[in-house]
Amino acid sequence: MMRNKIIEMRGIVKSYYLGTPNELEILHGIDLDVYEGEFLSIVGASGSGKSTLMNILGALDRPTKGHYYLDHLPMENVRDDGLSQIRNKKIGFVFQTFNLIPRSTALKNVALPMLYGGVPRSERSRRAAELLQLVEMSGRSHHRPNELSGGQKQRVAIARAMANDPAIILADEPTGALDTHTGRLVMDIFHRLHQEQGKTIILITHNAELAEETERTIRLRDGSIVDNRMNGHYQLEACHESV
Amino acid sequence: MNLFENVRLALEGLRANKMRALLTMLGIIIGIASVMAISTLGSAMTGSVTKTMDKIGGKNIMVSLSPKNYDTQSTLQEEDLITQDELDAFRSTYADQIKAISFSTGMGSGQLNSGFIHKDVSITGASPDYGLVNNINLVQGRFISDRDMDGTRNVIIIDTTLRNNLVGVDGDVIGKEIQVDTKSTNETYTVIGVYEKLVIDNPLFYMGDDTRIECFIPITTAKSLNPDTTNLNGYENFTIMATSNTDSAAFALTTKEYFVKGLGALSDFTIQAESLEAMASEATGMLATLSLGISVIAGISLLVGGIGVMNIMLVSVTERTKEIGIRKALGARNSAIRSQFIIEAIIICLIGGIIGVGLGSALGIMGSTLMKFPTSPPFLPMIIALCFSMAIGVFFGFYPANKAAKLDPIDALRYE
Ligand SMILES: Nc1ncnc2c1ncn2[C@@H]1O[C@H](COP(=O)(O)OP(=O)(O)O)[C@@H](O)[C@H]1O
Ligand SMILES: [Mg+2]
Repeated sequence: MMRNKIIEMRGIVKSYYLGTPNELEILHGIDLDVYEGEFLSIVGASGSGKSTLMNILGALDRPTKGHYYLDHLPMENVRDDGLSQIRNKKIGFVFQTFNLIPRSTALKNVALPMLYGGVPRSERSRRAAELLQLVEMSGRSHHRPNELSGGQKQRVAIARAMANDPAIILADEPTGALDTHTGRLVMDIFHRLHQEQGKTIILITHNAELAEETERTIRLRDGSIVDNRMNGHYQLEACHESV
Repeated sequence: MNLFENVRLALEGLRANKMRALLTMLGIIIGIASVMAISTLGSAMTGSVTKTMDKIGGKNIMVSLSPKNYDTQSTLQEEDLITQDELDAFRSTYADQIKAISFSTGMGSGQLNSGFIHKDVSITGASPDYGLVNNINLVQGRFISDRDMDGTRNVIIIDTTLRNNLVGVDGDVIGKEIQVDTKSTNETYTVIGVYEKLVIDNPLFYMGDDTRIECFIPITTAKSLNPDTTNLNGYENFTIMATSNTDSAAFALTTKEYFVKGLGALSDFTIQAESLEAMASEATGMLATLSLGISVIAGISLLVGGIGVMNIMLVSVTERTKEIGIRKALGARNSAIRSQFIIEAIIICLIGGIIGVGLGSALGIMGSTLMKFPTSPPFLPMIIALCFSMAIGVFFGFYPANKAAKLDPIDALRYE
């Protein structure tokens, strides 16, 4: 079985110029391949460059050096409007701090990516309601974020990430602000999306146990990948495949 | 993303900050309201001036001999007066600009007696064209004819009030003989016509409550009765009615020059020729100056208002930096962010404009009604005012909106 390499990174470097000559290199030549349908976790100490890498993966940021192919598309050739479109259609973001629009209801928040994607109004509401049902938040569709608990907010945020049926879901410490129990519920939703809908999911986490649940874990240290291995039973499957 | 969605987004944004939005609109409201008020009032005024001018003969030029120097006593000499020959020559020179020329002379006031009825009246000697030139509205009988003139007949035209006094509304007064006593005469006249007095309800032309009853007799008769003017042959004043396509203000100057030449250099008198149109345009010119003054104030208010809108939009962009970051992460293009904020600015200004237009029109209509100008809401200025307020929104909203559009998504997302 040929798996589609949905992400290919070669020699990705990210530097900040805090006034020459003080160049601060955050990522030092990252090589990374992710296949379609993979559930990947990224771990590493705080400040090791996880979010920086995630922003590049999510087309929110451009690398200083190196090549990034998203679904075989060389990203260095894509202009800003193209990046917007990629973020809209191919990527679904889930953030640690939820990042819901405070003035909008849950339903409106979920519908927002579809608005920017040019989906007609009635279709937007229909699909947003459907997605809220998927994350078991139908009862709260007309509540604003400040009327929701952390776990509920994150479920709305996941529904929003799914709005335009993206190929990849990028979650930056999605359980970081949640207690263990609600974190568990959120994690289960990711597993479901992965298994039932075949989404490619990249999860940044501090929680070693949660990382263990994913198919593969990458460890970053000071801006370099120091470890890249299959987890638990997935190891076996991977061995079979590579044979 | 379509306009409708942007408008919804903008309205959502404004609803979250109603009081702030209203305060921001204040400059726009004041500016637009003052422009609307003055233009409503202005159009009501000019409209009524034009109407009144039509009523009282806007194309008339009053020509008269007047002393060069009012300090010294000067008496009119026969050679000063304008002769019939001079007038005929003038008339044929400018035949295509002159519709009619009328003459009149005041005989002063007198008392009308008919049976037991005694009324104070004023008598004016008039030429046949007087009726046309001064827009005399005859309701019964006829005006003075050439034959009345030639025969210096004792005929008189009275107004409807007097008719009602003499014979009642339905009575026939034509042919009735009435007696009028003035300082130096007491004559009996035959009534040949009844006219309806012109009512000028325009405050700009208000000349005091005119309850005088004016009666007209042939000017020849008047002159023959007036001992001061019997020996003089010629005219000291007349009214020219210019044709409708003549610039009467310019023609007044031509007339003045023409007749000044005819006066001897040694004469104590000079010619005055004034066109009603020029006098009216003086009045409307004053109004235009006033409008300009108010427009300048309104302009400053709109500028300040616009800057206020820009300021509040900048605040709003800063406050919503994180939201902008989120929208960008979800796939909003720069252009979508830009239009969201520009449309928000336009809507602030448009709502301000609508309130201003409503307030200003109401003020203008109230003012015009109080000053007794007939008026209707001026639609073109309304549309222009609304378009202009939207333009202010675009102009002052562009910079903040562009700032929002150009925010780096990561910096914006990280903003707390
Ligand atoms: N805009 C920036 N300018 C300078 N340094 C930055 C900027 N953004 C991030 N960094 C630095 O990059 C490093 C990696 O940050 P980050 O990717 O957020 O780490 P992590 O998500 O793994 O905690 C940190 O040391 C951080 O201070
Ligand atoms: Mg981080």
